[in-house]
Amino acid sequence: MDTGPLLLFQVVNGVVWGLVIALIALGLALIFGILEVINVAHGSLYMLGAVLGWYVLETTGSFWVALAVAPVAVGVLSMAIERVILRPIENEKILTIIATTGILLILQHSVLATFGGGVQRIPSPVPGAVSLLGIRYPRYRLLVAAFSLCTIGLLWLFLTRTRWGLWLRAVRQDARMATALGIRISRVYMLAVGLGGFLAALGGVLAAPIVVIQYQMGFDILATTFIVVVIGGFGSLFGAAAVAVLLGVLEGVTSVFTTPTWARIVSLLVMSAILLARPEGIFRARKVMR
Amino acid sequence: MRGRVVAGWILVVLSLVLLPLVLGRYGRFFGAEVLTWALYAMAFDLCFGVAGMLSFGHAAFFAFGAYGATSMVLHLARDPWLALLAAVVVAALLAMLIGCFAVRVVSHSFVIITITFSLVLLLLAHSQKELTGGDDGLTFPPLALFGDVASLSAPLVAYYTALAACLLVYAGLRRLVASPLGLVFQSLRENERRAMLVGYDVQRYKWLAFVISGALAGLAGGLYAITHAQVTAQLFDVSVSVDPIVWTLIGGAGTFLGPLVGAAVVLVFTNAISAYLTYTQIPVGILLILIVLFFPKGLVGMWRAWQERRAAG
Amino acid sequence: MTGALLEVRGLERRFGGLVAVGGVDLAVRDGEIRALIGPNGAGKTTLINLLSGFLPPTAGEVLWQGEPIARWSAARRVRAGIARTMQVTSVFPNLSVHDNVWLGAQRRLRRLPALTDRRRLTDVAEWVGKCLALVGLENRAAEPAASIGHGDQRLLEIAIGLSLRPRVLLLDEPTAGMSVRESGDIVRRLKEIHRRDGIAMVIVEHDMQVVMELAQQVTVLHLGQTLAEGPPAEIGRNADVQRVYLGGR
Repeated sequence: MDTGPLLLFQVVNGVVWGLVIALIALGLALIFGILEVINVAHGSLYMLGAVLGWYVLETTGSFWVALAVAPVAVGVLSMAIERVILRPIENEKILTIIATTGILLILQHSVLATFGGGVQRIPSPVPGAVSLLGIRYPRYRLLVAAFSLCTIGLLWLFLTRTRWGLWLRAVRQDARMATALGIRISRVYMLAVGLGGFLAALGGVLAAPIVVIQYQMGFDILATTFIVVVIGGFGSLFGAAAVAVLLGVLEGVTSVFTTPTWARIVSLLVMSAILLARPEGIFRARKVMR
Repeated sequence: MRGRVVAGWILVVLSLVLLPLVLGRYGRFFGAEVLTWALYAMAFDLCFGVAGMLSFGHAAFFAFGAYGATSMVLHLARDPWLALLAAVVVAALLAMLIGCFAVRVVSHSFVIITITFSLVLLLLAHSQKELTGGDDGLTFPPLALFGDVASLSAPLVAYYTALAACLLVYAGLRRLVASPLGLVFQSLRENERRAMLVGYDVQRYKWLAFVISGALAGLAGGLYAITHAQVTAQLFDVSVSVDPIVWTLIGGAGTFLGPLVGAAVVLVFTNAISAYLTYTQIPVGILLILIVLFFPKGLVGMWRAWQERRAAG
Repeated sequence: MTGALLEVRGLERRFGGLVAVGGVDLAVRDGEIRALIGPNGAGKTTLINLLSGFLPPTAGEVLWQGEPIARWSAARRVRAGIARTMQVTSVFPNLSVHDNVWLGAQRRLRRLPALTDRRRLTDVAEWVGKCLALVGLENRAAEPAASIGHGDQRLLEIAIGLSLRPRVLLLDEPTAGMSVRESGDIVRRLKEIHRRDGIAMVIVEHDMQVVMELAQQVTVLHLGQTLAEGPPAEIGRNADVQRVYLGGR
């Protein structure tokens, strides 16, 4: 392709991938925003979603069943993790990082032991391409973008219109005040982590036909999602989503002019620069407590 | 009481010195490995346990040290001492650079920045295969200490070199922590704002602690290089950054002895069970979680606390 | 106002639309004990934060011995001789009481050695001992700061401040959360410290008894502005002050 259409292709790619990252980052932002836990294992939850999705696909033959089942399973697992491991140590920042590191090791190597170290690929569940603004673009990826947008929209509705959503936001603002108002913090925490894991795994299943599934795939997105959450503004959910999309586009565009590796490096450095310039994030002026 | 402590130390050092005599060839080389990683863990502990900065990217310093030593050997001089010097210098320079950025941000951003820089270097290491040799890495003919006398590929020589390095660094770090500068480093961990209110330029001291820590991690990397006579891009992997965190937690942060013990315990443990269990990181992960939940002070930390209780009551 | 040690002129600090401190003038002379009182939200802590360098002013000047220091960082002000304690006690929890004070005491060393054992620096140790004695914590020197009581922790904070040999000590509610006996103890010690070393003090206080006993001058803040200023007895009689703060008739 010549540069024009290639650029457009990559921009659309960037938006699609950015939306997937946005989903995962939203999960991370929920966990961080509400529990102040830096979930180092978040990438593993994404990976687990993809792997479980693959297993369900293998057994049932339906990608859509996988899409329904895998994220829920990971969500439930995440809630269990919160209850058993994170709950006792939730105020100790460093300990939670270490604990989630342990979870990362366990998840990753359990997958290595069962799924193996090799890669698997899932065929695109919606084959074919459509004509889009003068280029041919894979249908499935457009579907992914649409699905992600819908999910983000549903999440927004959930947070702003439902009782549980209100509780989540209250606890994020001021946990002690929320307790004083009678909100059951422990339930809210569990919901936040469950939802966080669910979103990460959802991203994993959606991404599975696009990338290769292998036990280390979590590392690829870990740094990115973290930076996205922080730059987007410490728990500002939709700031994170916006930054994710911008980042996806940046990486996509850069990869037209150089190798994918360099595109990644450039995007990581750019994000670090932003993080250093504005430690509080772009969208929220929430004060960073030293 | 002091006499008992000194006697205890002499006993420990003596056993470490005599240990290889009862180990076979493999045991000696494994011992050298453990000591090299223990040195790395102690370097990490300065940054984390003493100064309170959780770095998730120390692999970069270790790997830079290893590659620095290798470059010295391949291009300039086949001398192990110069190789180690190169390792320290190269790693220190990297730490100075990354440190400039990393210490300006809050603790969770610090974690993220260190992961990011380490990841960038990992990507570069794997992509610049001509420079780093990629997964196959670079090798060189083994070096020898003191002219041609003691070849570092001999397990015994490797062991004693690593042991000497470990003991020296341990003594140096203990001295550092007992010094006025060391107390400032600890104040950073305890209460950064208060440290500022006592008039300390917090960022400058954080940077300094970070650089010393990185330099020592580089020394460990250099030691690794000269005893293995081979380095690969895998030294930049995330797992190499995560390992010292695990070891330090298990052994007890801030004690230097803790990371050393932690590294020894985990490495010996995984080595032992690797005969029965291929995926040793799973029990390590479980161990990590158990420690966090029940023994947050780590083994050495608990032992010290127990000792203090005995002395008090 | 010549001769003032620490002075602010037209000092203002806004937070968006809220004016926490609005055009305050204050001058503290060398060796003066000034109390800062007023209802909650009057801007007392904000003023202390402005003086100590925690917050930059949005308008006005901060002068130290006549020199403008509004741009100086908090650490720099400490080095110049302005020490403070925090409203919520802020010490080094896992370090011993001795080491807590040592961090302040060792500032007088021109260079911080990296490989000398602290125990060999006897003059620093001596000064630490003196500071601890001034606050009565010399017997608890080896205990970790987190394990001593709340009142003792506040005394520790004062000791740390003293170890810096400051010209002025800013104390943010030093007797907060203390029993009557503990408050009396602190007041006695502060008086003694003032008598011995002539350190100027700016004390934010709610306890009027403490104010009456310690302060030479009192500044009353209300809604970010100076309501009244004068010796404690006079302030106590001031009708405005009574109405706004002391619960007058």
